[in-house]
Amino acid sequence: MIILKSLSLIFTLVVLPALAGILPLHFFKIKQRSVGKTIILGYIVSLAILELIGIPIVLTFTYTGYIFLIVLYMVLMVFVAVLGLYITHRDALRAKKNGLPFAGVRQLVSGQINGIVNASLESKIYFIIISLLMIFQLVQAVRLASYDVDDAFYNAYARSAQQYGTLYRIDPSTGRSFSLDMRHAMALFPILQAMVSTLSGVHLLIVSHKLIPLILIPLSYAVYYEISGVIFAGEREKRLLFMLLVNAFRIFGNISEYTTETFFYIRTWQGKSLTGNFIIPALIWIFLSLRDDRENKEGIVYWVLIGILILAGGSSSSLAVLLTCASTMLYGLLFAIRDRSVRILAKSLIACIPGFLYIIIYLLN
Amino acid sequence: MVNLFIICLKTVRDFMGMKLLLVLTVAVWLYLLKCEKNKTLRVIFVYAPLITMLFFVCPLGYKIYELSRLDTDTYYRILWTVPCAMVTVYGMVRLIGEKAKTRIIGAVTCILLIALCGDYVYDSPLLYKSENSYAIPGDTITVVDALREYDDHPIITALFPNVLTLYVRQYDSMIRMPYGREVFDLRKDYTHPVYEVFELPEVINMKKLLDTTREFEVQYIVFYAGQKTDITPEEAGLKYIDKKGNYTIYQDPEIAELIKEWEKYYPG
Repeated sequence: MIILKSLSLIFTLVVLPALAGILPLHFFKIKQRSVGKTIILGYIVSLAILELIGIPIVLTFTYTGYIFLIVLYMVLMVFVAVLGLYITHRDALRAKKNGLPFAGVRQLVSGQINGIVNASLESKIYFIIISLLMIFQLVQAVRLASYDVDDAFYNAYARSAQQYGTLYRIDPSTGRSFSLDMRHAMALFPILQAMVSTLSGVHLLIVSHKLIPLILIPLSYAVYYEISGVIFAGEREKRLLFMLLVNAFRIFGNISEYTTETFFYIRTWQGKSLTGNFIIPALIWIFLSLRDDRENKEGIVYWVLIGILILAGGSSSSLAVLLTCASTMLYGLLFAIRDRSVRILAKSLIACIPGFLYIIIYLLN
Repeated sequence: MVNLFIICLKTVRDFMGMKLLLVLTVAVWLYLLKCEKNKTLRVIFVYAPLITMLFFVCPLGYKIYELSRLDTDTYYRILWTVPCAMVTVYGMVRLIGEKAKTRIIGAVTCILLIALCGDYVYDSPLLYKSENSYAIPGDTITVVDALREYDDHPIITALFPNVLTLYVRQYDSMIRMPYGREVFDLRKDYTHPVYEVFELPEVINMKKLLDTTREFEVQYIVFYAGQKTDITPEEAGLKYIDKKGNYTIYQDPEIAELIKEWEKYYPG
């Protein structure tokens, strides 16, 4: 039973999102692909799919929305994963490589391992310290509990979805029925945790308090690692030094209860933490990757990705959509000034369309 | 407008805490303002944070936020779009990263600076050693399980002392409560009639308590060992169910009878 539960957890939290990341990864140049990027893209796609199907279900299904959401979400996720694998397999065959669907991924993994083995002593020192710090943070995430009043809100919503089958129509404080809570109903990240719990048979609180941090902490660092790759391309020592200092900044970032660093450790599983530590850094990563839009033929991929990310941000909170839209417009404006190109501003505006639709639905209900 | 400006500045102060970490960020930002040549990095790490900060402290920004139907208590989250960690760390690496010989010494210095200016998260009073894999107080689990063992109805209504209130419905959402986390929100003046007679008085007036709990159809009342009552719960007409650690569970027979009556008309 424990083995079955563990396998189910690994499948829903790691394997499925990773496989879902293969499809968007396909649109990046081979040299730009990495294992970390696959998982990041996978989670962005997963959260966007959750919002895409979840919002209509929340709005239209009064009683049985939860089960319907699980079924539809899993079907779509498996579809995206299979499609990604199929396209990779087809490309591998076309390129007359060995034809295995994971060929590209295998090269990536072996390339990264070789990179570590052949690295300089300085890099190895950084790598060891970063690994130890990561292990320390993950151990602490499992070992510690935190006091947070909002937990009684989000987890009770998620647990109600599991136990009553209805989404955001049970008052999390009292348990009595009430009309749809629109302020929170479109942020479905707690429901995703409930879904993982239902599919694995592991209690929701174990999933949210213990297992989600084991995913989100490395996921957030993966985004920072990708950012370092863009800033310090080809400079391994600087990349690792960047990661080492990011670790330090976060561990000592608890300067008030409001910083993203505090949320990262004390409320890791809440949508707010996802906003500050995954969605917003991922947006910055995408904009850094854009660099000079005029020279970047793959630029369109990034703009589409921004749109998907904004939608994914909706799963963490409605505010995340506003923040990512506002940041997209600001970066777009500054990039437009930098390149003296109005097109970038237009692209930013188009990328924000999922966010604008989200806000309209929010305001209309 | 001046008031709003002061509110914005106070929010920045609260965000920064009493530590110097973000002062360090500002210092690094100034360095990048002077030295950063890469246009993309300048946009993301220099200009965008500056514009965001100007918007943030501008009273108009606060007003827009308020008019957007957003809770102004969350206004500080706009600051999340300023990538403080990235700006600081990038600037540091840029400053110390060029010469391999001095890089490790620079790294140690930077870590020490961050540690001195910041606050170690694992010292936070909000973090404590987890009692169980659910990361909630173990008493919640034993008390709720005891209730479930006694009453096999899927939905029951119970009143819990403060220390358990926050956790009960996270563990089992089919237990209803007269009030929840709202009473813990110190920023709002929310209160509840049951809370007023159960948690606020030093000595609980049992008649008042039962008058109010019956209005909310509370079937079970869980008392904490430290709670004093003017007469014993049994004298007030409650039925003793179980004792788990510091918690004693009672049933209100009047409500239990009422629920039985309802079940004749609404079975299941």
